[in-house]
Amino acid sequence: MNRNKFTATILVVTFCVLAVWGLKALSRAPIGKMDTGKRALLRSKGNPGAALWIVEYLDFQCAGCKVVSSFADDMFKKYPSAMYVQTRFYPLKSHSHGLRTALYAECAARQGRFWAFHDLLFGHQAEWSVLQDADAVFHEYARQAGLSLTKLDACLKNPEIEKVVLEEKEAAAALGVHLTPTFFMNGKMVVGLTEIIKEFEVHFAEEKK
Amino acid sequence: MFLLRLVVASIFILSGVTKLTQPYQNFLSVIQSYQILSGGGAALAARVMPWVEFIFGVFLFLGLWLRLSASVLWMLNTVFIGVVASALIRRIPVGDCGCFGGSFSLSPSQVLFLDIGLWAAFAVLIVFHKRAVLFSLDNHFENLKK
Repeated sequence: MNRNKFTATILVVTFCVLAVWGLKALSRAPIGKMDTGKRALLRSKGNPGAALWIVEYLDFQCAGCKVVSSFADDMFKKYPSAMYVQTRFYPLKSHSHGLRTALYAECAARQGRFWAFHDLLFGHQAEWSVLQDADAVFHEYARQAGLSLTKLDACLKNPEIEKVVLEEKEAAAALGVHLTPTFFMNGKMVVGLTEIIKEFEVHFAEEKK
Repeated sequence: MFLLRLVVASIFILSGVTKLTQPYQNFLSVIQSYQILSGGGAALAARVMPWVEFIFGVFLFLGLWLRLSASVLWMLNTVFIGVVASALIRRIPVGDCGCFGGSFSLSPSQVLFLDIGLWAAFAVLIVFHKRAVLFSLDNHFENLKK
């Protein structure tokens, strides 16, 4: 091989590796931490002293989020004192109701009914996700979840709600979240159905030992 | 031909670097969502593929090992076409191809068109290899030998 060409190859590969390291170092985000602010606590459940802390980034229209959320709920029912779960919004642009459902859920949280509304949304996902305008259906779920509809309507008109949701999404993107479902389990980033379920299994298998 | 080489190389550089600078878990999840690879195979592909795209993309851009880089990326591109087409045929709900990390999103059908376009571009680059070497390091080192 031509010696100069060989040297050039080594230099280019070294440059590529250093460039990636440099870019990674610049964009290195902190690990996902639990938000202890009052607003986030309205979307949290479980034992704050639990060994497993989960921050879940969800889009209510994402099919994988529905499955993983149902799995996490089953685990929560099984080990209620062993987990602490906090939901954060990551509405995907590709989902027509992603942002709207997050706004409703934030308003439900402000009335202390987040989890009831969360379960109704995921439980009926297949029904409302095909609708063009699903507001009437969301109002019905809100009624079933025990929300005051007058307060809900006032909340939905408040521009601060959308700001809160979008800021949460922006903060998530800075952590490297780009897909849903993304979980931070004790700070460790886990993405997608397969890996999240695997991580739960590993955690509870270790707990049993 | 020179411009075509730069454009094709830039697409692979961008694709590789966006995946490499984001958490590896995102691309692993995308690979798993196609339901072809799982376990160690998916993890290996998620670690290695972005490096192959990036390094051979840079080689192609600079015209270093031009024929080899174009062939490697062409093969990778052929694999992408097969994987995306199979997901479309099996009606697997892959929301985002994951081709450019989270920087921007393409649906599987959009990425299939992009990949077919790239496949044709690679065919042209390899067939007309002699014209594609303009302003390339390969050409420079050949001239040094003479």
